[in-house]
Amino acid sequence: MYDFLQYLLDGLAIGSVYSLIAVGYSLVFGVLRMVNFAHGEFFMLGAYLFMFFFNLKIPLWISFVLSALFVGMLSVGMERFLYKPLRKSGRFAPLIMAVGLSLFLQNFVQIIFSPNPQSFTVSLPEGIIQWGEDILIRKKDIYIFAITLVLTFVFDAFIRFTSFGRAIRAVSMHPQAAMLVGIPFNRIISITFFLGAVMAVVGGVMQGMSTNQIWPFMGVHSGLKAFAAAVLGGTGELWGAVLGGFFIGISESLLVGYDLSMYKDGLAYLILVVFLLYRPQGILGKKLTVKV
Amino acid sequence: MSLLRLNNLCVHYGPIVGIKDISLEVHSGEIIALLGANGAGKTTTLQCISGLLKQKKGEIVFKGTPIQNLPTHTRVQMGLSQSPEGRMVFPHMTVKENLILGAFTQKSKYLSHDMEKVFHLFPRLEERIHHMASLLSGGEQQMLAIGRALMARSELLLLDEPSLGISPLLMASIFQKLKELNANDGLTLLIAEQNAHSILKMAHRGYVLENGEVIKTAPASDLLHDPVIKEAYLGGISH
Amino acid sequence: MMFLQDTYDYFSLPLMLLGIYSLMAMGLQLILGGAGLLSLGHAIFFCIGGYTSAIISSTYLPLITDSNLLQLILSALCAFLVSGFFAFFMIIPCLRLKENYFAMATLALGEVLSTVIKNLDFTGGIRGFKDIPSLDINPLIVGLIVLIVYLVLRRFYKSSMGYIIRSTRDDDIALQSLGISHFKSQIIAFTLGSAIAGMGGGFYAHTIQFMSPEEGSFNRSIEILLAVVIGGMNSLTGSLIGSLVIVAIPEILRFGPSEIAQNRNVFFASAVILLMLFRPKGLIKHGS
Repeated sequence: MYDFLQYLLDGLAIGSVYSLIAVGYSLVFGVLRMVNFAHGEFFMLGAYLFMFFFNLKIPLWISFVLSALFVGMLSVGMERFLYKPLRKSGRFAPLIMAVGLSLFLQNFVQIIFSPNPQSFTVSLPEGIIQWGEDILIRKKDIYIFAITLVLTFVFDAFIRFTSFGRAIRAVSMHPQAAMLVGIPFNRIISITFFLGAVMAVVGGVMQGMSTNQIWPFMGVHSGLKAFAAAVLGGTGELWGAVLGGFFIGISESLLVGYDLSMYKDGLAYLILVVFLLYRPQGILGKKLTVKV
Repeated sequence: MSLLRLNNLCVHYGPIVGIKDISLEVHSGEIIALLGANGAGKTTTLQCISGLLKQKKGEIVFKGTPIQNLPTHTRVQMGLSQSPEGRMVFPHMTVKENLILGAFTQKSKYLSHDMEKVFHLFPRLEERIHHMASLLSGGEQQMLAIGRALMARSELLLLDEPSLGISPLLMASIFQKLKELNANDGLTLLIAEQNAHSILKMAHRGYVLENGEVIKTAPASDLLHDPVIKEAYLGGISH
Repeated sequence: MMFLQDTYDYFSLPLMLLGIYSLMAMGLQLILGGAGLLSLGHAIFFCIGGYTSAIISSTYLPLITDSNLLQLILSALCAFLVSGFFAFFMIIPCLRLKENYFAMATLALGEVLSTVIKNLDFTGGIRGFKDIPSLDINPLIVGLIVLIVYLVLRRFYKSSMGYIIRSTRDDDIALQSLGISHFKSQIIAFTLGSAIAGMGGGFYAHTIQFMSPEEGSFNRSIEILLAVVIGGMNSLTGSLIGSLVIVAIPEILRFGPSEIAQNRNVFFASAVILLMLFRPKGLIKHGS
C-alpha cells in the first residue's frame, strides 16, 4: 500500500514536467488544429539556453527570463514565417514542416553543444521529507509539483478572466466566429504559441534542475509523451493537459516501481492510441462540433 | 452617402468561380436586400465583405476606405459586423459569454448597457442567459447571432439568411425589430435572403444575384411587384 | 578485373542500402502520395519484416531447402506477408481518424510495437537478433526486386484501383458520392505499402545480418519520410531520387571533414523546411 503511494508521489514530479510541455501542445492544437511537432524542442532549448546564460555569469532569474523570452519569440517567429504560409498548402505540409523543424533544432543543438548529455549545474534544493514511516518525498519534487500547480492556476485565471484568454478560447471554439467578433486571429495564434513555449521552457529548466542533466534529444523523448498527455486530457483544455501529464507520469512511475520499467516508454504511446481511437476528445474535452 | 461599395468583386474557390463580377452600393441608413437562389453567390459576397473569404479581384470600399486587404478584425473595428450563415455561435459558451465576445472591439463601459439593449430586443435571450449556446433552439441561436453582432456597435450589419430554419412568426418579429433598429438608430442593413417576400417588404432597395452576378437592381417595391422576380423567388403565389 | 571486383565490393553495401531504402520509400509514397495517409510509423513494418526474415531464416528455412536463393525468396515473401498482415490489422481501426490524429496514431502504434519487440525473448529483446544468415544477398537481387516493384507500382497506378487510390488523396467526398469505397482502396494502399517496406526489412536483415528494435523507431520513419518528401510526395520516381539523396549524401560526406558528417541531419532537415516553404510538391514536378 505504501509502495503504491510512494510511486504515486514520485510520479507527480515526473508528470509535472510532462504537464508543462503538454499545455503548449494542447493550446496550439486548440487554436490551430495543428500538432506542433517541434514543440518539444522548446522544452530542450529552454534548458540549454538557461544553462548558456547562466554560464555567462548572468543571475538565475534573469537567465530564466531571457531564455523564456528568446524561446517564446522563436516560437512566434516559427509560426509566423514557417507555419502560417503553409496553412493552405495541403494537409500534411504543416506537420512535415514541424517534423523538419524538430529535426533541425535537435541536430543544431547537437552540433553547437555536443551530442552528449551536458551537466546542468543549477539544482533545486536537496533534501528529503519523511512522511509517516514509509514514505519519502524529495524536496525537489515538491518544488516542481508546486510550481506546476501555481503556473496552471495562473494560466487558468488568464484564460478565464482576461480578454486575451477569452479570445484564445473563442478561437479554439470557432475561428471564423472569433474573427467576426473582431478578434485578431493571427495575434492570438502568436500569443498562444508564445505562452505554450514559455511553459515548456519552465519545464525544461525544472527538468534540468531536477536531474542535473540535459541532452539534445530530451525534447523528442518527453515531447511525444507530453503530446499523449494532451490528447488524454483533451486537446484545447488547459487542465486536461495538466491532469494528463500527471496521469502519464504516475503510470510510468508505477511501472518502474512494480518492476515493469521496460514497458515504460511504450505506455504513453499505448494510452495515446487508445484515446485517439476511442475517445479523441480526451477526458475533459468536448465533442468537436466544428468541422476540423 | 455611400457606406459600402463593391466594385467588380470576384471570388474563386480554387478552380470554381463563386462570384464573377459583383458591384453594388449601400447607403447609410438603408436596408438592402440581397436576393437569389441557393448557390447564386449571396453568402460568398457577404463573407467576402466581412473578410472570411479573400477576393480574387475587385474592391470593397467601406466608409471611403478600401478594406479588401484588411483582416476581418480590422473591418469589425471600423464598424462592420455580421450575423453569418449557420449562425456560428460559440457552442460551449453561454449566451452571456457569446454577447460579451460580441463586444470584443468595444470599451467595457458600454457592455452592460448594450447587453440590456439586446435583451430588450430579444427577451428570450435574457431568459436563457446562462445556457450553453449549443443547446439553444434554431430561432434562439439566430437571435443570439444577431445580438452578438449588435454588441459590436457597428454601422453596417450584414445578415446571411437569418430566416433559415426559423418559424415565419418568429422571423416576422425579428425583422420588425431590425426595422426599428434601422429607423431609430440608423443601423444600415445588408440582408441576404431566399425568403424574398418578407425582406422586400422592409427593404429600401434590392439586388438580385444569379450565377455569381447581379442580374437586377431596383427599389424594393418594384422588385416586389416584378413578375419575373415573383416567378423565380416568390414562388409565383401572391401573398 | 581486380579493380572491378574491388569497386563492386566497395559499393556493394551502399547499393544494397539504396535498394532497401528505395523499397521503403516507394511503399511510403504509395501510402502518403497515393492514398493520402501520413504514416509516421512506417519503419515498424520494416522492422517487423526484418525480424520475420531473421527468425525464419535462422530456424525454419534451412529445413525446407538448401538453396540460398530459394531461401532468400521465401524469406522476402514471408517478410512481405507478415508485415502486410500487421499493417492490415493496424489500418482498419485507424482509418476513421482525421489526418493529424491518424499520423499520431501510426507514430504511437509504431512505438508500442517497438517496445513489445524489445521485450520479447524470441526476438532477442533489447540486444537484438544476431547472426542472421546472409543467404548470399547481393545488389543485383535487391536491384531486381526494386525494379520489379517499381514497374508493378507504375502499372498499378494506371489501373482502375490505382486511379481510385490517387483520387482519394484529393477528394473523399466526391468519391463517396459516387458510391466508391475509398476505405477499401486506402486499406489496400496502406497494407501494400507497408508490406513492401517489410520486404525491404527482410533484405536489410540479410545484408547487415543483425536486427535491432531501434530499426522500427520513429527516427527511421522520419528518414524515409524525408526521402519521400524530398523526391516529391506525389511521385513514384521521386521516392527513388529521394532515397538516393538520403543514402548518397552521407556516403559522399564521408570524404569530407568529420564535422560535416554530423551535419547531415541538419542538412536534411533544412532541405525539408525549404521544400515545404517553396515547393511543397517536391523536387519532381509530377503530372497527375
